[in-house]
Amino acid sequence: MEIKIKSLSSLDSIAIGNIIASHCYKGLVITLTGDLGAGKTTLVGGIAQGLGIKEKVTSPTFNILKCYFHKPLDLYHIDAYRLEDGTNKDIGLEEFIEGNGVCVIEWPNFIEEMIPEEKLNIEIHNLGDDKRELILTTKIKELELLLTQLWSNQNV
Amino acid sequence: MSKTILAIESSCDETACAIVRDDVLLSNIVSTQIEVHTKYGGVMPEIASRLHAENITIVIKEALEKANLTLDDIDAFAVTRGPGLIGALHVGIQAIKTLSLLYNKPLIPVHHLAGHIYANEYVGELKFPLLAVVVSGGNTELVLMKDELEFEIIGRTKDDAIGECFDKVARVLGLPYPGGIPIDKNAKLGKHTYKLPVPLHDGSYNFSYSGLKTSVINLVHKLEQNGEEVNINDMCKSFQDTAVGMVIDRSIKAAKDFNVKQIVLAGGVSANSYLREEMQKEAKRIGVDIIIPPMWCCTDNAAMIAKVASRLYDRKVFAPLDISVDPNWEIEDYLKF
Amino acid sequence: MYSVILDSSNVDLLVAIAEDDKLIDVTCYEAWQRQSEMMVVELEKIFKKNNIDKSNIKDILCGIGPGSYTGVRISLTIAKTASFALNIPVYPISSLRMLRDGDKPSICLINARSKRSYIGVYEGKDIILKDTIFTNDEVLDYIKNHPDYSVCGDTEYLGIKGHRSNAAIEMIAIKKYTEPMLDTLGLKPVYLKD
Repeated sequence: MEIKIKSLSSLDSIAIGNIIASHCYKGLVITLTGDLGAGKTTLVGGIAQGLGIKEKVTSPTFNILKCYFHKPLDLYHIDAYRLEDGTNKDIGLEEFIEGNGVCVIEWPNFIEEMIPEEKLNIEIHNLGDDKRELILTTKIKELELLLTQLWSNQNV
Repeated sequence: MSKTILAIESSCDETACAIVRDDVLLSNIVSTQIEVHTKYGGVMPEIASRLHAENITIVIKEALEKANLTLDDIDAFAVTRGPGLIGALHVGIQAIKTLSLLYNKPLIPVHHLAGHIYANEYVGELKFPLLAVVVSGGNTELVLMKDELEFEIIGRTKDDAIGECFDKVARVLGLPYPGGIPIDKNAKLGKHTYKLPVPLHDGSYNFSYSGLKTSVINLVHKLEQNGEEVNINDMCKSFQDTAVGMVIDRSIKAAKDFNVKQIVLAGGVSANSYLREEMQKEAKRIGVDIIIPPMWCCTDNAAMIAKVASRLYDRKVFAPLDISVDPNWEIEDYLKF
Repeated sequence: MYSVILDSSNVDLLVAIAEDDKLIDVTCYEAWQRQSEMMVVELEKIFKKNNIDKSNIKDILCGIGPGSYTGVRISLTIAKTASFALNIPVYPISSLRMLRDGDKPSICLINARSKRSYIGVYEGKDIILKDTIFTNDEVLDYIKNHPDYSVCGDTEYLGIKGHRSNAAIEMIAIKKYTEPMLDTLGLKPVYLKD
C-alpha cells in the first residue's frame, strides 16, 4: 500500500511522527529515505515523542546508532550515512533491527542486506521552504490502518 | 604515592590505549596510527577498519611496549564507559574488566567528553571556573566547570552536531570527508558573500545546526536550478563563518555571564583554524584566558581518558565488575554508574 | 592447571572451568543483553570458588560465533585480553558445533532471523557441513533428507524440538580436534552474514 501526504512545517512532521508512533510495535522496522536536509531526524523526533520518550532525538550520524531504552517500546535510531563505503558494517546493528523495539533507519540503502522485506518505508521530498512530501509504502497489513488514517487526515 | 594507569578508549571510531605514570604520558597508541598499520597491515588488513574494535589487544600491547612496562606494573585500569556507539563501548569495557579481574586492580569508568576537556591539561593548566566548548562530529555542548570534575551543561545542540554539519555540507559541495578540513582550507580563499540565516536567536546557549545545513543545501540547489555557478570557496567561507560564529557567540556570552577565568576548546572541531583564531581573539577581547588544544588532543585518544582517570583514582572513583556501558551517558552524571 | 570456558554467542551466558579436560564447575543462565554486565562477574565468582587466579590458567575455550554479534564479541574480547595478558592459547569453538549431540551426526542450528538459520553439521571429529546460512525452508529440507541426524539447538522457531546440549561439556570434547591459537591479536568473531 502507498500513500502520499504533505507536511507544511517541522511541527507538521512531528505530528505525523506522533501518529506513526501510535501504530508502532516490537520488531517494526521503519526506513527513511530522502536527501540531506529532508527532515528525517525531525520525523524521528515526532515518533519518539509519540512513544513517550522524553529525551531529545538528535542526529545519530556520528554514532550510527542511538538507543532510547524506554518501556514499553524501545526506539533504536540508526543512521547508516557513514557506512556508505561498505567497510565496518559489522558493528552489531542486526540486534536492533527486528529487536526489542522499533527501529528507524536513515540512509537504509547502505545497509540494505540487514533490512527485512517487511517494513514501513517513508520517502521524504523537500518541496522548498519548510514544505515536504512524504511517501509511505508498506507490505505490512497491520499498518494499512495507519496509512489510511494519515491520508484521511489530509484529504477528508 | 606513584600511580600508573592504563586507559582504553573505544567509544566510536578509534581503539586507543595510553599509559600514564603520575601524570606523565608514557605511551599513547591509537589504532589508526600508521605505525600500527604498517606493523600489522600486511598480515591483518582488518586493522585498517575504523569501526572495528578488534584492535583492542594490539593497542594494549603497543602501549605497554612503548612504555616499557608489563601489566603487573599497572595500578589501575580505566576505560571510556560512554557516550558512544554501544557495540564499540562493550569491547573496551570487557577488556578492562578482564584486566581488572586478572590483576586485581581497580576499574575506573571515564566519561568521553570529560576526556576531551581534560585533554587540554597536556598543554596548559585548567583555571576554574572555566567554560569548555565541546565541539565534535557527535557532540556540541557548552560545559561550565566551577571546579575540578564539576560539570554543568549549559548549552547544547537541539539537533545536529557541528562536526556532522561540516561533513554534510562538504558532501553537498563535492568536497571530501571529513568535511572540516577542506571547508577550512577553501574558506581561507573565499569571501562571505552568501547570506545564510543564523539559527536560533533565543538568548540561550543552545545550538542548532540542522537548519543551517538545510539552508546551504536549499541555496545550492536553487543556484544550480537557476544555472548559476556556486562559488565553492565563498560558500565554504559563508558557511564556516555562520557555523563557527554560532559557537563563538554562545561561548562568549556564557563566558561573560558566568564570569569564567578560562575558555577551553575540546573535541575534533577544535582543529578548525577559523574557530581557533576567532575564539582566541574574542577571549582576549573580554580578558579571559584560553587553551587551544593541539591536533593530537582534538581527535579521540586514550591519553585524555587516562588524564581524567588519574584524578578519579585520587578520589577513589572505582567501579564494580558488573558495570554496564551507557551510550547516552551525560557528563553531569559522570559519578553515576 | 585450569581451562576457562566462555560463551555468550546467544541468549545464554556460559562460564565454566575444566581441569585436565574434565568439567569441574559451570555457571550457565539466560542473560540476553546482560552478558556485558555479568560475564566477568561470573568469572570472578567461579574463580574464587575454585581457587583460580592468573597463575594457574593454562588455556581458554571460547565460542566464536555465529550468533549475536555483540554477544560473541563480549566473550571473545575477554578471551583475547586474557590470552594476551597471560600468554596462553585460545581454542576458538564454533557456537554451532557446541550445540551438537555428542558424537552423533548433528544438525546444529541457530536462528538467524529473517526466516534464515545458521547451520553446521558435524559427526564427532568430522565436519559434514561447514557453518553457513540456509533459509529455513532449506533447513527443513536438509532435516528431511537426513532423518537419522540429531537436530540440535533452540529450534522452537522452526516448530521442532531440538536436542539441547551441555555446551561446556561439548566444548571440552571439541577442544581435542581444535587448533589452539596463541597469537590472538587479530582473532575476530565468525560473522557469516557478510
